[in-house]
Amino acid sequence: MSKTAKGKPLNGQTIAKHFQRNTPYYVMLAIPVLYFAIFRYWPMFGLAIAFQNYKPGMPFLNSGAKWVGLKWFIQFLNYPFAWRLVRNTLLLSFYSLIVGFPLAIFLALILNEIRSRKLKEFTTTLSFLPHFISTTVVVGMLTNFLNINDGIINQLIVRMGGTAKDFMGTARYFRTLYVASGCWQNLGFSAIVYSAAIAGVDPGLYEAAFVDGSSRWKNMWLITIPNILPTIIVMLILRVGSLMSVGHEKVILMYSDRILETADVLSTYTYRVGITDGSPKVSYATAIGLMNSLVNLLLVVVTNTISRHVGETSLW
Amino acid sequence: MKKILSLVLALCLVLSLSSALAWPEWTTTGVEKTGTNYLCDEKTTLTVCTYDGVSQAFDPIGNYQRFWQWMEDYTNVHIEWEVHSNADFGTVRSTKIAAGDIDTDIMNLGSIATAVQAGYSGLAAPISRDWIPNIIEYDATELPIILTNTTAADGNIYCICGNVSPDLGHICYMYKTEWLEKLGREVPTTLDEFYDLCVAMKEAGDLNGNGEADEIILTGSGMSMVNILGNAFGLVQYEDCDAFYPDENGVVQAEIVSDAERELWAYCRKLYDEGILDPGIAKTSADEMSQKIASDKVGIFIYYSAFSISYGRLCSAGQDDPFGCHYAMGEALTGPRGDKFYSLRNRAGNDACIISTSSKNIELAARWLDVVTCDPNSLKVRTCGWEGEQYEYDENGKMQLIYDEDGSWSIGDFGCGQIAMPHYQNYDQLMNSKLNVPWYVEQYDKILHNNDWIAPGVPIIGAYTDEEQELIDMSKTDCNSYFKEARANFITGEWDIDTQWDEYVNTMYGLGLQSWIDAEQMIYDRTR
Amino acid sequence: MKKKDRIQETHESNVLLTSKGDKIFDTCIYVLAVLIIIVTLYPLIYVFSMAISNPVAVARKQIWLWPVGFSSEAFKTVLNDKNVFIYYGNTIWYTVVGVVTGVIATSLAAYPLSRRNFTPRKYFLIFIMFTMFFGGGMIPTYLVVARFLKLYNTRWALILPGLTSAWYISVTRNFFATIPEEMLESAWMDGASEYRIFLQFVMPLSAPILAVLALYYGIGHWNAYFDALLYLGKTELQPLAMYVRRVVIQNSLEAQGLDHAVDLTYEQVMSTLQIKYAVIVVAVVPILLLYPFLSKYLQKGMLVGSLKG
Repeated sequence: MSKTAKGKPLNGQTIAKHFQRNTPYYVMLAIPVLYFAIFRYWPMFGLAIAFQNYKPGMPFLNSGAKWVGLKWFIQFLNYPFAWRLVRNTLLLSFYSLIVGFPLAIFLALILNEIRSRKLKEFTTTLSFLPHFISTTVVVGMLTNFLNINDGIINQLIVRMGGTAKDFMGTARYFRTLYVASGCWQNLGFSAIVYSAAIAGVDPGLYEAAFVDGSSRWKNMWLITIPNILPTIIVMLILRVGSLMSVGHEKVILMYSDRILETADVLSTYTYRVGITDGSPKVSYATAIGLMNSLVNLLLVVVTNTISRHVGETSLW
Repeated sequence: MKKILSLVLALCLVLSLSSALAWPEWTTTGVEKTGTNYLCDEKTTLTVCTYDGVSQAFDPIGNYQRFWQWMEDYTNVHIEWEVHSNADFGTVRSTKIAAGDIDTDIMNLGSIATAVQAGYSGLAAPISRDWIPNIIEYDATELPIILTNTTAADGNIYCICGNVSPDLGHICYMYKTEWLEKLGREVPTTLDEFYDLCVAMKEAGDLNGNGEADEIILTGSGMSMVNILGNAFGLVQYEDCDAFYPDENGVVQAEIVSDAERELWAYCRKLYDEGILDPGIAKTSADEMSQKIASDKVGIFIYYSAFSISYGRLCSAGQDDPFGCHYAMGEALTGPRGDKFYSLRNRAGNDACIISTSSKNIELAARWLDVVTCDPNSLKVRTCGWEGEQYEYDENGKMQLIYDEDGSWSIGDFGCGQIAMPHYQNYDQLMNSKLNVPWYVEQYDKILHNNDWIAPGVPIIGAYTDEEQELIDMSKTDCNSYFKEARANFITGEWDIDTQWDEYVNTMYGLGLQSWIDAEQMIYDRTR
Repeated sequence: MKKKDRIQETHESNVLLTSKGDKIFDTCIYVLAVLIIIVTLYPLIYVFSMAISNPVAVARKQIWLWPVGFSSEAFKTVLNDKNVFIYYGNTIWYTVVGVVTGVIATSLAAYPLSRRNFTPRKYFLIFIMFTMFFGGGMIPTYLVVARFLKLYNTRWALILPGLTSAWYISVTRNFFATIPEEMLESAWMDGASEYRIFLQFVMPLSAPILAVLALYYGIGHWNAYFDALLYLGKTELQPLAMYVRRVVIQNSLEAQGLDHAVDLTYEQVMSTLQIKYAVIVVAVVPILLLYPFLSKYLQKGMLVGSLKG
């Protein structure tokens, strides 16, 4: 293949020739591109219903639906619990980040430092087993462990002299339970990335440090961590970028009427209002979703820009 | 020799397998007594989509099987059911409507309002009055609100309600007779007596004698059951939140922010704090409640009386116990201001079933629904059981119950037993109705005679006008959610009712309660 | 000897020469490792014990870690329901089909984007990557899939909307880019078409990353419930996760085949909790059995596939 002139899309060829030369590529791209066009870009046109009084049944961008401008956005901003939803979304993500992020790194470091090879392999393999267990099962276990009548946790509390509590039904415990179960399920798996990065650290550095009389503890801080810093930062950017999108799947499994105060997040509200409601408010729900997506986008852009200027690593 | 042996073995296997199959216990469905009413010459199949639930009309599984078998023999229509769980049905319903794909002939949409919306958007087929002769007859003679409720603003009928009797069993209290006897007490009639009984049960300790402190004094299925206690405070509400009442000037008020509601919640908080109210009540499904009852732990429970009656084993009324079961049904409690009534669903508007426009058998489906809900024979079977098994006619042509040797009467494997009684405004109407079932009257005589049966309130109808619909849409969901949240938190003490009540009321109005009240005002003025 | 082994050896041989500080460090690490094992394993062991113990012991709350007594009633009840096998079958179908289609679609997208001689690739890349940061959202996607494409109540509703994602394409693309250009050039010189190069050279070489992809997609499909909730009304199409949710979280008595609880005997009442745990065990056992094999692939893949942008 001849040298290509960078930058110029067709680098001097005619369109026909370009296609002839690159047909296989286009053929291969056909399916994925079709997928993205249909399932990712077409719904984006659906965002238009956020500005309409849309009733299911009409196509998007139909003139049949009444345009109402920013009515739904304003309605959401007037919703007394709008701030609660945003706050819950942010707090859940934030706590998951604050707790889960360092712990994952920490876990990777610990696993790396286990001396016995057998123990190390066993523990490592075991640590990401929970990730393979579906969220339904994890929440199922959680719910039943915390059952007020026959859950093991309440059993323990009663045995130690306290009174059984309905943890899943009390708003104050929700965040803790959410984050804790999230950690149990995902910590090991998240740590893999860092384990891979740690394994990529030049062993010569350790040898040199050993010669200098450094301890394992110091090694960890002075060699391992700085060398995996790029990985950490990339992961952090990605995490921050999705700060405003708490996965509704798990919350829906865990929440109930009683704990909306802490458990209701933007995505669950959208789900309730737009899908399960007796008369679903489709436009309103879409408007909220749109605002959510935009904020996410903003966060990613901002974080990436900051990172690009401050350090060297960034997503683009 | 080997061949004979294997043949014998095979025979044994076949025999044991076939005996292991659960044959239905009935040998006849009773059609020969009622005659038939074929709706089509050739047996046709209709598909019906609904949800499972203990006390709703279209329960295709469980105890209603014999009734549906009877229906099939009666009408020559075979039904294939698509059943979803109660909890997910909201999602299923909405997603099907949003997808524009009602793929069954008939679908249970729950509320009339939803059905009317489906009709407007072309998913539900309008039903001609020619196809529903039984409903029209029933509307003319028994319950004149059926047709007005289900007719939409454009004059079409888009749905048929599975329950034509507006209330198939009001919520009632059930007291464990064994524990009452142990404590030497009677079924309470006032709120204070109720409280005293609860305290006594709590202090008695190990009432079921198993050595564990697992007694549950008061439970129900879900927090909405505490609503019944509200009747004593003058609250009309039947189930969550849809409660509006007109005051003396005809101005509609919302119960959920009224002082009576506050009193109710404070009272429930007291019950909760003292360990009387089951802390797990909010999470208890009907099935789980039955489990608790079956495991001998429950002193008082609150549930729909139809449940109690139709399963025949758990209820009785008053002091005599002809049913031979373990719980005595209690009457409505008189409250601090002398309020005593049963709030009933004063509407014929449950289980609104639509016929999909993509169905190939629209007229047949309509006629089938007509027969299920209002055909006299069908109603007789559903409410009274089988002639010769549950009842028989004496020389004067009056219906008499057939009791078992032990003096109890049960609906047995038939199980519908939805008694079409309480839509009557008063006792006299009941006595004169065609569907008067004497034993029901017997049992309820002591309780309901001389009391108001239907609490006053703004009628809850199905077909709203567009304007009303829009006003309601704006706030109903949010208000409902917040109401449930507040109720749970006030009762369990997470929120302090003394200091945070005003905040609750303000937030409620902030969520748009006023627009809902305005809509109800319009409905009240319209239907007055 | 590989570098990793040398380090390991160096570490281990250092045992004799370590200072006290290192010894304390090692002890702490050891303790933490044990803690990790306990925390990870305890819930699973407890669930299993509960499912298999004597119901009376369960009612008396005697089970803390190991089973007390033995009873297979709970499992029998769960497995008696024919529907469980249908749900299992559905889950397997969705997983297999999802993995195959996902891997194919991802590779098909990643390959052209990794070829430097394909000049418009930047535009395609942007086209695809943009979807990682912005999308239509739950409702518009639902309307497109269920309404306009009429996929409601069909199996494809669970496969197509999540066919592939920009993230996985990116990861795969990076991997493909590491395949030496010269090797492919020589194949090209020998007259092979791009298709053949892709199928016979690139794909076999990419086995690690494909394995990782298969794993990601596999886990995703195996555990999915929300899409099924939205798109599947018919229970005979639903995956196992929906069943688990109904029985274990929503407390339906579906697993016991009991639709109305009034006929429960005392023994049946006692065993409801066990049945829930039995359902969990049934749902989780295949994963546990396959896990040792899967984890090897995963570790290899992560080492290879990674994350540099």
